[in-house]
Amino acid sequence: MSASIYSNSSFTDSPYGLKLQRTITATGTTSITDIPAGIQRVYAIVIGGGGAGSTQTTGGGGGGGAGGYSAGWTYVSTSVTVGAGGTGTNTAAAGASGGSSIYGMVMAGGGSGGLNSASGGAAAGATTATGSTSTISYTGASAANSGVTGYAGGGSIGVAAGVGVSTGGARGSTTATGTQTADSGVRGLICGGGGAAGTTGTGTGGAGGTGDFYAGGTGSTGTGITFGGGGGGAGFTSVGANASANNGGNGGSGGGGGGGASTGGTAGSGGNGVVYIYY
Amino acid sequence: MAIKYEYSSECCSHYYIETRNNADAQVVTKCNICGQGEYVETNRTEIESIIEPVYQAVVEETISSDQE
Repeated sequence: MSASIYSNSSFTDSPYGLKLQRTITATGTTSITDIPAGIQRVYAIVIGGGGAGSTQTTGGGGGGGAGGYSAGWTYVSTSVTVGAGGTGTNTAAAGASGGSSIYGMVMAGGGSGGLNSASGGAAAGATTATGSTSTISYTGASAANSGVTGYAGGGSIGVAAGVGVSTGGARGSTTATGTQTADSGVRGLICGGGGAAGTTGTGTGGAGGTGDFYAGGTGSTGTGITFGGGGGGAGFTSVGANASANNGGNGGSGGGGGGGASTGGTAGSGGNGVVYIYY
Repeated sequence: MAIKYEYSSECCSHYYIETRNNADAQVVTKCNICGQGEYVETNRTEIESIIEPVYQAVVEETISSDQE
């Protein structure tokens, strides 16, 4: 005895016929008032903005963490918020975290900016991350400390970035002389940015993390302190940008983390978030 | 300025909407139902948008223990 969900009215609640109907990338809050009457629930994939990289006066800054990825059923809401990626600057301070995204009761945080050091920021889960520890996932997976694997990977204080669905930003190189190579971002679905190297010798910035669908940007290589920026991490919907000179590359759209910058360069901005709605 | 773009797939006429900032590229270009055809724009409407994110995360000033 078997039953087909496609012909049995007992299964009218099944996701049969579920289609991608809406993609929202406009940052900020916009209204959705035209979902057809009779649609009582929808399935949403929600991605937060990526964190910006950081820069350092001497040496290289860290990459920004990736935005969070959350998916689930929700009631129909008349508004949606998409978090912007953190904006990279040339100020030697922690990079800005990405903004959080939400639709109905599905939410995802923004990745942490690179720290006020060579360290990389953490990836986000359901809420926005700041610093090296990620945040708990929408489904309850634990937060991860620096370098630790998690649904949202930890940042990178003295260790490689944490792997996850969303990954942490990579650490930069603090040594300002000789040949230096910064860490690259690690692999995930949405990835953190690469670290930067700022040295009077030959400096090579780390590549942004490469995702399952898109590649991270490459780091910059050259001799002297005007090189060594880190590449942007891959986002959910596009590649991360390559670093240029001592500036970090921007993270890919869909939550990629920005690359770190070196020696007063401009850090890469995080990629904006995105929301998909299926019904 | 945010724009609501309405599309119809040229293969199965699936109606689909993307809302994005004016300068941004189309995110989903190929029909996600049967995968055979492109989405063809049928209408566009300007919509209200708050460009800055509603939630601004607190940025850490200094972490004393994060020096390598």
